[in-house]
Amino acid sequence: MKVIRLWGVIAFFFLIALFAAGWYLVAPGVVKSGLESSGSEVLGAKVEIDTIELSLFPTGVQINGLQAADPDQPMQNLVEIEQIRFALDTDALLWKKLQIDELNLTGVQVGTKRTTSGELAKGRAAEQLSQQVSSIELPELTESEIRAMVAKADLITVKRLSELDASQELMEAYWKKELDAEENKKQIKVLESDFKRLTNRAKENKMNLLTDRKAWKKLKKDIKKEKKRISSLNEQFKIDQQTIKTQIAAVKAGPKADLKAVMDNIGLGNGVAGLSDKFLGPEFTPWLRKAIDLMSGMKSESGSSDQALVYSTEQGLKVQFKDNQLFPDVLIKKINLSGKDEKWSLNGSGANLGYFPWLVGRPATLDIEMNGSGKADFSLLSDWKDENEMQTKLSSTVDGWAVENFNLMETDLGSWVIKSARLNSSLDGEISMDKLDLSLSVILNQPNIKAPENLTGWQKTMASSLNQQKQLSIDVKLTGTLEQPTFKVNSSLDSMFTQAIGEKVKQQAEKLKGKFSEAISDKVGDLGELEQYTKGLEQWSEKLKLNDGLLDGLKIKF
Amino acid sequence: MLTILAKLLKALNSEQSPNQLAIAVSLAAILGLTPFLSLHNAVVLMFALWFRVNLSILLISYPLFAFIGYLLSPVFENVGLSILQSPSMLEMWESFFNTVIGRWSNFYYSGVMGSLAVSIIAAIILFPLTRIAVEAYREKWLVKIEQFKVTKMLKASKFWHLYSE
Repeated sequence: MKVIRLWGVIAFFFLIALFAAGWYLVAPGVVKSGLESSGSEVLGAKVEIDTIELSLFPTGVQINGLQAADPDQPMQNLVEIEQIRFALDTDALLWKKLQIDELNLTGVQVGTKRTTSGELAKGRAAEQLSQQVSSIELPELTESEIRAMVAKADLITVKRLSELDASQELMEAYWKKELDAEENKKQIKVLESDFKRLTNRAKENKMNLLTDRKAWKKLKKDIKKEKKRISSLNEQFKIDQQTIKTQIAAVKAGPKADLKAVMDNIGLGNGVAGLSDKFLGPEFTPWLRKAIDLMSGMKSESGSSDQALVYSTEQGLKVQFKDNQLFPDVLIKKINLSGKDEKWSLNGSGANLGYFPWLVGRPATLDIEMNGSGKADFSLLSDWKDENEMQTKLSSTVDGWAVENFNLMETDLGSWVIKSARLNSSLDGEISMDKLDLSLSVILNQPNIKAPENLTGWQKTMASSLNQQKQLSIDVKLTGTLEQPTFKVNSSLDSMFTQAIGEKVKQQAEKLKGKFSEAISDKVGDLGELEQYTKGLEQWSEKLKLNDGLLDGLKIKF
Repeated sequence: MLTILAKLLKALNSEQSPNQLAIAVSLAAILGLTPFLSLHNAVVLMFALWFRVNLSILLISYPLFAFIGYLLSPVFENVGLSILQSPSMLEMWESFFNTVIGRWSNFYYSGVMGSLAVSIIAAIILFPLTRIAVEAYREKWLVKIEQFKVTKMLKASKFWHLYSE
């Protein structure tokens, strides 16, 4: 019997050839649909491509007619690119890496009209300010989550309680030593018995007063000394009493401070301002947020030096071994883009854009300039020394760009449209692995805003006041770290937010406040028993009075 | 279902050696338990087509192993990760990663490595077991099963004739 079957060999090669041919025919469609769906997901509006052409010799890709719709204005494109063309380095491809020597984007246009709507049927809705307000998901925390947060929190009440305990113990020891010690009791008894003895002798014979003169004098001196000691103890007692009272008051105020600290931590401690920091801030800068997520995701999950790094990918966990092919998985060595419209022209260039960026070896740069009714530019310089050391500088300015018919926000009552305004903006800052420092300032000069017609109440007032403003401004400041970025938003539109969400925040804050108070009480215990600390001190006051009274009695009789 | 049964009986009753059937089950285990579009599966497929491996048994067993593979995928992830992160094997994996075959084999994904390791062990265990089972079937059960009404009905059906041709 023959070991090898001939038809099997032929079938195998036929299957391989069929698979290759199938892939070559299907690949443009697969790549097209992949780019369209992932692009749409990121953008929140339709990304469409007319055709994709793949060539084998040389290995190259040409994307024709790319349109990315504007999520805010679905009948308009955010960007339209006539042609994207690049050739792939086959040597790099052999190592599963995409290396593009030169990427050319021609016919780049922004704001072009669409014939069909670019809105995604079930996708991300246009992120408009008022919609954000109504759709903000305030934190809903379960009982166990609240308890876990409180258990983890470094409660000031607990600290203050232990300080109170320590003070009380110190005082107890002091007063015991001063009033309860045998020596002190003996001293009082000696004074008392001397007094009785001398009094009896004086009663027996008045002349004894003269005989015992010296003894009386000594007794008087001793009593005076003891009285002085008791007087200074009285002073000390007052101080201790005040200390304990202050500490008790601090402990009593502790749960309130703790509640505020815990509530601040979830962004509900400071009403609208706190919520704005926590929830509204990131929404103002969705792209920045995405960049942060991307960069955070780049960080490896394993830090041990004798283990390979592990990355989470869509295909599961990927172990990254030391790569001797020292170039990144994706690298665009040079990028050129150009485009123009009737009202503006755009030119840009970039270099060394790669992923993973630290494998590029040279800083990535991207510079874009636009000229039209005003001037705009964008510049990026990102230098990765290694996986954990990155320095990225961003800067962008828009100077006097005319804005016309810009859809500011969409509400139930209609659209808020900026009919005309002059836009000035600046973005400036640095990002590194352990520091974020970005500032964005957007100013709309002389805004002419068209509000929906059926407005009532405060919205109507706000609409008319908006048109009276010479300037509308939004300042976003991003600081902190990549893991814990902090957004600060200052805007002349603040009052609108405040009115819109004030009540909602208030209700939610009140609801959570109760739950947190309960959890904090459980952790710190019953503070009603704090009075025992005062009572403990009171017993020493009684003893002091008793001794003082006793000495006073001796004095009177004397 | 009848088609599968007919294929199975046909293979078991054929004159093919138990080794040919056993290797088919082992190869199906590797094909089914690991991600199908992997480089090693091209080798498995080549082996199955080039050599006289029983393709009917391979095609019947494949879906069963694929289902088991789907259920065990979290286990494969853990197994693969511990193999890939084992300090004693790090150098070997690094060398393999820096070869073109290593790069295209996707072995550095924990799921691929885990499933491949488990499937190779399963294939090694299944080979003798299947062989013994086929031999036992042919010696002890073949005649008895031939007498079953179901077998007789099946043998009389068009499916049987279809596969007999």
